[in-house]
Amino acid sequence: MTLALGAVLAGCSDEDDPAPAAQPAPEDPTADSGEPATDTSLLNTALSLEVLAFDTYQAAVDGGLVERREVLDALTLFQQHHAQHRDALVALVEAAGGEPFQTANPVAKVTLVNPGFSEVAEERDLVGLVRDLEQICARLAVHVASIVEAPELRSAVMAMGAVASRRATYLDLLGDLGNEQLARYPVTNPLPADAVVPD
Amino acid sequence: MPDPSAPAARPRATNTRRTFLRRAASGVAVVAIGPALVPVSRFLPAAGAQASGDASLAAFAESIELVAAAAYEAGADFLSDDLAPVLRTFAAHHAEHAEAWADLAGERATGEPNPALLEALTPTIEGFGSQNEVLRFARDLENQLSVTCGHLLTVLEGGDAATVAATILPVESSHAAALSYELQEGLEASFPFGAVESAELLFGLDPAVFPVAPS
Repeated sequence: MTLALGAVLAGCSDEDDPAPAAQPAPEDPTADSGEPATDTSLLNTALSLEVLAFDTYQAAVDGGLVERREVLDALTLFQQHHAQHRDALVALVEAAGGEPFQTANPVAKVTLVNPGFSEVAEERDLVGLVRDLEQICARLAVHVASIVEAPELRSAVMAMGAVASRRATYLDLLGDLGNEQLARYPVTNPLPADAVVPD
Repeated sequence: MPDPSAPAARPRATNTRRTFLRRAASGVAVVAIGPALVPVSRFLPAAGAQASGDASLAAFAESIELVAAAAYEAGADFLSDDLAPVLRTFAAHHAEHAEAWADLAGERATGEPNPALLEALTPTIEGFGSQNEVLRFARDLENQLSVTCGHLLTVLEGGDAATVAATILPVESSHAAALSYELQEGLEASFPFGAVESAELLFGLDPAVFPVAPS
């Protein structure tokens, strides 16, 4: 156990990006042509990522690669977390007067999750895949919280983002993945620009 | 190094819902799928000590981060060679958090650990006798810092201040989860608040209970 935790920090650096295995695509050069994303757009983007995470955990459990009971327990609990986050974000979108986008984020699925799944060969790879997805969930929460202006929205989003960070760390240790850990999360959008759900 | 708290620009919505979904459909087709908390009950809010305003709250946050950094130093002698660098890194994180808060606090920053919190924790710190005692203490403190940071997000008014809190909160919660894992406390212990992190000061550090020393 001690070695596992030590490994988390083995790669500590001063870089501001945790650099998950699945890197977001370069920013869309046409991105400035549209209107700035609204609060409901940002919340829907987070919602779509929660749906994607829920589906990804289901695929992970169903894939036949899970060997250890503690891994199965973690995947099961974390999928439940994402269901709760999904429901909370649906409520936030509706409270903001928007229409909830309850579909797995298609861009993130194609650019981040699917390429990751294609490289999964064993349980540890699977744990690494969902660890990366949790980091993206946490980073997106920080990004959204740095933009929305209502304190109650910031708080609600970060209450979920903080738990995503816990999950990422737990998975990192569970898989002995040795991810670097930073003093502060960056505020940049971890998703491709075209993954933002439009209103 | 880029400032992680530099304001993020709102991303642009480049698609309509219809084109967004259409792109999704075409894309899918071509890709193969493979605690024992700090005992605060004996403390009462000091009269007139309620911190308010972003600068005062930032000064409070700076002071409790400095307590965390100091506490990790005090426990270093009990740590194994494997764990010592891990907790040193955590301590460095807290020092960096304190600097970020101090920048926001401006003239209200003290550069000193919170005196009331330090007084409350000193008996425990001085009583450290084993690595696991240090880890349990650190796990509790990290959980409290996480909750406190979450609470600050509900009361900070400025976007810059809220952004600082948002960039720090998930690091505190991550520390707590890592320490619980190291203590082999089981899955649930790494998520003491379930799926949603608490922002209730009952589980955190109240600025009114632990006021910043007057400058």
